[in-house]
Amino acid sequence: MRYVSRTLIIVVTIALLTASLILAQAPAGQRGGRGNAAAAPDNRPFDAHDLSGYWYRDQGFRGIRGLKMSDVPEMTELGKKMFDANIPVRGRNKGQPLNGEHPGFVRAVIPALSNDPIMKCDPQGIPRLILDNEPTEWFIAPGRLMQFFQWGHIPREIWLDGRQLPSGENLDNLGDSWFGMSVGKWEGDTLVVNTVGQRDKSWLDIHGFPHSFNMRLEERYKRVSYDRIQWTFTIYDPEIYKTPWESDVKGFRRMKDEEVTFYGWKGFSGFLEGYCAETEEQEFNDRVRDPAGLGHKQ
Amino acid sequence: MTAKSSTLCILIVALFLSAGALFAHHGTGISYDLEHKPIVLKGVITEFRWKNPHVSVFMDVKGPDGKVVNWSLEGNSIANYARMGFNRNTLKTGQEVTALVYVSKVPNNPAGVIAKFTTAEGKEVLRFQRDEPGGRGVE
Repeated sequence: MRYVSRTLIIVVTIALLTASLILAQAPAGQRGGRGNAAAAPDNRPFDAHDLSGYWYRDQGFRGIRGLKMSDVPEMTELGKKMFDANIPVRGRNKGQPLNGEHPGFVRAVIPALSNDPIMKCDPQGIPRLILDNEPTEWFIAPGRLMQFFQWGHIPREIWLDGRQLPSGENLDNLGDSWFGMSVGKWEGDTLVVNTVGQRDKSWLDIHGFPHSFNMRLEERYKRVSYDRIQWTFTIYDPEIYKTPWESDVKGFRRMKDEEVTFYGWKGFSGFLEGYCAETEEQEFNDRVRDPAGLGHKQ
Repeated sequence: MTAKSSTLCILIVALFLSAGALFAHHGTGISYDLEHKPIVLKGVITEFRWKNPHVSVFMDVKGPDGKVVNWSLEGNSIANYARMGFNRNTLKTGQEVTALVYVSKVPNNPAGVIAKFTTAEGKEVLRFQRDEPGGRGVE
């Protein structure tokens, strides 16, 4: 009897697991949300070097690689110190038992106790901004690939004009900035983008993993079909992580025009402008988010 | 199967289940009780805040003692609600509505996260969380 009941528990749990993972990993569009993802692969011809269009990240982990201990590189002493100083709202609640995850995914607190930079509308930097599940528009400008993010209404420049990535004294004199400086080069049909000079106030992801000014981020974009781009990246930051941190395989799907068109108006201007305005963020925190976590003042 | 190996299987499966829950887009679970049934609030809209980062609604609700309490209710982002067909005119100040709400984890706190609103005409609007607890937010 004990054997039967134990087996039953396992079978039921596996069924729940399957349902949970399907829900968790399915593209948003297939969950009836922001998507209307194409039901069948789009076999139309495409130019592998043309990444322009509206794209939505629907594949891969919302963080860097995964939840397990082995998915996160060992940190240096400085890395541990910066990691401990970051207090996120995402993940499982702080104090819950670890189930094999890295502790970075089990330390969430209520927003009022968090120091997540986005609570004050600080720019998110890369890769955090691209990891978000929000629409983007990419287009070619002179010498550049531009990535325009709906959330934050932020443009990112990836220079394709043959310039060199800043290094050494030049990089030191240029100093840090929220999105740093990005240079892209084609290797066959893969666009390899390197970014340096990002401000160390930004987090790598929603879970508060840190980076230093000396991080180099290498991204690889490959258009694999008319409607899909594959994306992977590696974080090289020996001041913070003892080994390079490779992402899982992530991907974007091409959005249809009707998904970014409302009341006859297409694009991210108008009510989709998505600015993070600090006054509105603070008002929301004061009137809604913080009272929900701490209680309304009587 | 030994008791030890069965327990190990269960632990591994529990690990994956908890991992799945982390993928939710919005971090509302941290402040709201999404594990118990939502409550029904009947009242009048005092403000429909159609702004980022999250749309929110304030409504007056009369309690059993006759006292009116103003609730703050958190919804989805403008972009996500727009994709569901909602806009700044979906609700109006002064409108009578019924709200299905998951309450704040703070006891006796008039704050919650929206599952949905139902208008006097029976139209369901501003869907965010599901009707039944334990699920994910609806994007």
